[in-house]
Amino acid sequence: MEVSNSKKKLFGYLASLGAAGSYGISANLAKAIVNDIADPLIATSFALFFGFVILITIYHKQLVNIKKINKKTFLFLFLAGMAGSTGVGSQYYAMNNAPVFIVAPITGSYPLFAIFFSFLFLRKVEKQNISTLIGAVMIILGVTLIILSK
Amino acid sequence: MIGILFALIAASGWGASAVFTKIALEKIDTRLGTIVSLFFSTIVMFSITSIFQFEKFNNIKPIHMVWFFAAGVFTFALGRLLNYTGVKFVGVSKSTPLVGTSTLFATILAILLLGESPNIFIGIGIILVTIGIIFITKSK
Repeated sequence: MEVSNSKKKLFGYLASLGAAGSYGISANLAKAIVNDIADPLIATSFALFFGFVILITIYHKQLVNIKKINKKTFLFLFLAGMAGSTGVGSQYYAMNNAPVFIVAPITGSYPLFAIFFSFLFLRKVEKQNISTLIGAVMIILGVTLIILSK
Repeated sequence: MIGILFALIAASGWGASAVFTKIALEKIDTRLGTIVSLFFSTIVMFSITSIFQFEKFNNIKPIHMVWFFAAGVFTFALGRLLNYTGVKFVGVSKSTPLVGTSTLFATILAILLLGESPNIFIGIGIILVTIGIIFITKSK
């Protein structure tokens, strides 16, 4: 059981860092697209559509289980998508209304918001500790420094 | 002031999104959860774009689809799936800061592929991010 849990943890860490790498590539793609090809809203709409088509093509067998999803899960998946999209839209408006040296540290601190919300709503599921908080603060400081140095 | 307000909305939106994801994925497979989430996001985003920028759909050329496809692969098919997997297996408080290191990866790629120049602040930033990752992955 112990081994299984540590494997799950390792898988989770690698997946999170893999997501960061993937988002890193997409940030460079987005820069090129927004500069030369299309507006962010248009590009995001089509990118979402292609992302959906790719996953449904690869994992179409998973759709058999869609009837097992209850209303609560549907609602939270919808809310997750909405909250994420609100984040992207708000960042766009924030950048238009304030200098990057103000916006970047605030938006970059979203892991702290996630930890705070997790403390409020997931206290029974997730244990918080000081090392995670220190790590999150270090990452936010590092990322802010990188953004502001450009 | 309005810029700060929107920046705060953005940060809290992403933070809340991770928590909603964790709750939603409690009883279902991550792949199915990602597909359903992408379905909702696609519908909503196309609706918003149609309302505010409908005329700009006319400017799209077939070759642009290659770029949108590539963005779809890295941002949503891979990015969101891996992000959700991380949230499910290590939780919001550990996964979200790690996903937040994407700026570091973007910067390294820009230096390696686009020839952007590194500087001392990027170096210090990389060290801080690396220490942060160690703190999170070593914490119990």
